[in-house]
Amino acid sequence: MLFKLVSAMDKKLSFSQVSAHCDIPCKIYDPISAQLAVLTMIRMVDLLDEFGCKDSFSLNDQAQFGRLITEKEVHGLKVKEEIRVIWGDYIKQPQLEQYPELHELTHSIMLAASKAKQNIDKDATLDLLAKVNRFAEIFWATKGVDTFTATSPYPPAQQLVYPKLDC
Amino acid sequence: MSPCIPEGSYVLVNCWHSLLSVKPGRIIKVRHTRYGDIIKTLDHIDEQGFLWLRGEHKSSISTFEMGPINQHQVIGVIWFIAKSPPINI
Repeated sequence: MLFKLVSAMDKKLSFSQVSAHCDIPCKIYDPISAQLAVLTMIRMVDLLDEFGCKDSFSLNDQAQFGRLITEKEVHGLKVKEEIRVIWGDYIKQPQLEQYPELHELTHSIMLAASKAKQNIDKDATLDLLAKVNRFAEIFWATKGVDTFTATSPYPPAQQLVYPKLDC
Repeated sequence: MSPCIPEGSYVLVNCWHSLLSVKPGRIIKVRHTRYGDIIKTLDHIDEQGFLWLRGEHKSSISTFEMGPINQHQVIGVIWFIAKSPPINI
């Protein structure tokens, strides 16, 4: 009864909302999502560069061009989001003391992701990958997990930092 | 803070609270620097006057993770709760 009354008032007055729950700390963090998003950006740039060699654009070419740009944008945002979550939720004082570069590195990833989004520039995406790989390296080090670098077994075949996990 | 406050419930917040009314065990609304506006149970007030909160749900974030709350971050004290009815499935 009381709930219905307040609910009716809410519809008229639009009460402000407040959360009783915080983020549930699921503790599932992995920089691989960010790394794969950068690889996607690099792949999109490679495909976009192929368009530069064409003299004219068919209707299908134009549609494909739009799709590639959109995917590059979407994955640029994904890189930012994935890194932000690890930085904001996982990184705390002990990790910062261990790796004081983390704040600056995270900020530089945000800037590099923006640059890679704004341009069709392979060097900009490779620079972003180098930074995200360094972030991954630090992330795994804070967990006491060794890493190794290997070439991703799919296009754009770039170097990626992977964790050495026990079987 | 389910099941204490089910999702979709209404809470009446007294924003004209005095610090005297902010006592351990009371549910308060605070402006958290990381989580925004949240309502939590006040666990205790430490010697420096910082407030420490706790969640009622088993998966709620811990008191330590929420960190100390400055008294200026307290928006109000919950006066009453109009709980949302359970959903029949």
